[in-house]
Amino acid sequence: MAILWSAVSSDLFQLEEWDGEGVLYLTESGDTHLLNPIAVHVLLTLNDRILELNELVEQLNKSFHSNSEGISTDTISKILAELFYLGVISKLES
Amino acid sequence: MNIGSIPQCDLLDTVRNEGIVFRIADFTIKLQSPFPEVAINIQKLYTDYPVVGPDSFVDFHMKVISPKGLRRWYHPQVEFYFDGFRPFKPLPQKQAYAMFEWSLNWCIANHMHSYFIVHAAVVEKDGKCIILPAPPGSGKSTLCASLVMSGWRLLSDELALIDSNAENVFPVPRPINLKNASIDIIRDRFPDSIFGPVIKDTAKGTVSHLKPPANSVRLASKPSRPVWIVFPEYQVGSDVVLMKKSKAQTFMGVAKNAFNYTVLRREGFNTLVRLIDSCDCYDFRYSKIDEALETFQLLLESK
Repeated sequence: MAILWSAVSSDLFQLEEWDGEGVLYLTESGDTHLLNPIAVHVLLTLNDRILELNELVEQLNKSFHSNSEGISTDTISKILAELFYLGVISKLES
Repeated sequence: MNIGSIPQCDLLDTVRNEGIVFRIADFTIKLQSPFPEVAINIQKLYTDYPVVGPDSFVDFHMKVISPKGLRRWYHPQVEFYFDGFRPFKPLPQKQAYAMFEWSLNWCIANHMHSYFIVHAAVVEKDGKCIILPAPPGSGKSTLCASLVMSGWRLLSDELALIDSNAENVFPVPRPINLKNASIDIIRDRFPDSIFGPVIKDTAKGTVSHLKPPANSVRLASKPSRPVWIVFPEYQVGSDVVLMKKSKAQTFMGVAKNAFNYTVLRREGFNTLVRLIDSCDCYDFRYSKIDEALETFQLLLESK
């Protein structure tokens, strides 16, 4: 069974980005968090599409043109866990 | 009529009895206090501020008075009342004037939520203003005092009052609160500077308030456009360093120094986004005043 990731309703958060880095405002709590460029990209990507982890990693590596090792699945998993904890993404089982 | 033009005996009498009502930028304050040092230092440091009629609308009713009880005879204290409410514990009586200044900061920061309020100094030159947010002990006030004694306009030493569109910073030019070694540094560097009493053994160490330039007080109703956000840090022996700071990091730094970011919720977030969008952002480290002044002049000329 695959797990799909998606951003929650945009009413629940607001993301502003400058030069890749971002600040995330959570509507319900009023808390604000600093996001690194990869986390910003994860959230923006999941705001557009519902993706599995592997698809997301592939998408991010295409977008980032990062170093030869690329962005690891482990890195993205940790970011997904943090964004899920913050309540700005949800998971669906397909 | 300005506070400075009132004969001192009349001012002492007014402050002791019905209270003096005066304006600081957009705020009207009524101050009552039986302590002569409060009235004397109000006259010394608020010389250029306009007095308004006793029937005017007052934003902040302030009383700096002596607590009741036997203690006043063997360990005299002072306490502050705001609209009949006492927000702080009493302080030693010799800190009466400082208590007035700190309490007025509290009044503005806790009640003027039509502004986004940041703990920051704000100075301006040529219509462009610099917001200097910083926690206590960062050298913010020393830098601010040096700039205003060198021709920059003082908007505030403590409170940046920003409108919701982040297009203007509103002045609240008041005496600059200097602490410890900063007092002598500014006094020596700027011999014309006028200080209030030097008050020792406060929670902040030794403090004294520097009179703001008359021109800054005269322009108190004229807001200014924010152009730079600079986080100052005094570091002993440091070379002067002005370094670009990322906008997202700046956002978090300003939010951390804001008094009402959490009160304003999404409106506060959006105001801060607009402010960050419109400003260049830096970290600034210094140890020598002349180098700091030169750096800020170059920054001004760069835009």
